[in-house]
Amino acid sequence: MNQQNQFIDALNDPETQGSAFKKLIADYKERLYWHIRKIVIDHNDTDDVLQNTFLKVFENINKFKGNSNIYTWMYRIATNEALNYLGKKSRQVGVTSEEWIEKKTEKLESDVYFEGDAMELKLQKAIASLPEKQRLIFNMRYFEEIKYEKMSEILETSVGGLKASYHHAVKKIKNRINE
Amino acid sequence: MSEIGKKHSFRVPKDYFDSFEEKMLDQIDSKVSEFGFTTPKNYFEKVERDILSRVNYPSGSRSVLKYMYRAAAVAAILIAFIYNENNQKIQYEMTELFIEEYIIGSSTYEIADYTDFNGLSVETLLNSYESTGIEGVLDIRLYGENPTNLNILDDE
Repeated sequence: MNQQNQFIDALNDPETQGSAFKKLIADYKERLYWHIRKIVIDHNDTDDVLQNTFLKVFENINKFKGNSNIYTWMYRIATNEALNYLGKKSRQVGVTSEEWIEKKTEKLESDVYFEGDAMELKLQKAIASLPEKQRLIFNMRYFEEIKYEKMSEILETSVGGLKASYHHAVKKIKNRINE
Repeated sequence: MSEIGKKHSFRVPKDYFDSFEEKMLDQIDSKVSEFGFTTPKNYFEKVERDILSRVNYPSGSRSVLKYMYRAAAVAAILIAFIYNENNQKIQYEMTELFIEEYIIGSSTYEIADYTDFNGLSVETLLNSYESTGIEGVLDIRLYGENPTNLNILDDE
């Protein structure tokens, strides 16, 4: 039995699940936080999504059979939670999730939890102008440097499709920055 | 005169220098930043506690509760079943009435048209014919749900 399966068993065992889950949070909270933060932009929204992600992981750990990497599985949950959250929030105010993100990004200058320079702000605004899927793929490839094969597992999209989306995203961002 | 200004006139809070290092490290922690995005101070310690406080681990009392839920579910099914049994009688009567009305209003040919003969074989017909002999009929009449004409043999 490999290390991951042992860890999953510990998560499912009532005797050990408390300490195992604590370890899971400690190991992955930061990576998942930054992944979610790139999607939803705002810190408080990220905090909500991150907590919901870990709760979903805990509630569904018995369905995880260990056929894939637990990190990939958690990443997928975090991505879905973040996109659903965006959809829900934007519907509440009657805009698309892309419009919602553009508005959030416009307010970044006054956000106490953003201290990027002018160039970083310009880059974020350019990223915010991308369609949702391209934005997601660009963030995962450019900032998180996730390999296409891994991204393909997480997003359940072909490697070719991901490369094409990333290529389009880069082109649009370059154009936007040079405007 | 040469000593003027050499003595510190300014004060610092008690233990300021003792706790300075710790405070500085806290400040550095709060500067966790990725491409301009930052988090509140000690956010990652706090979020861990927040998540753990929201998780419901199965405990003894929870297990009892689980059994109570199960018992309640079984009781609900039983009640539904009994209710359905009472209702079924009415439903049967209504169905019979409906079919009767339907058949009365139809000619023999129409009734034949409604009947599905596909699943019917001669063998099945014979078997079902044989299975109800005179004793069977008598049993049904004597011990069936609605016994009728108990003097049938007397007539014969």
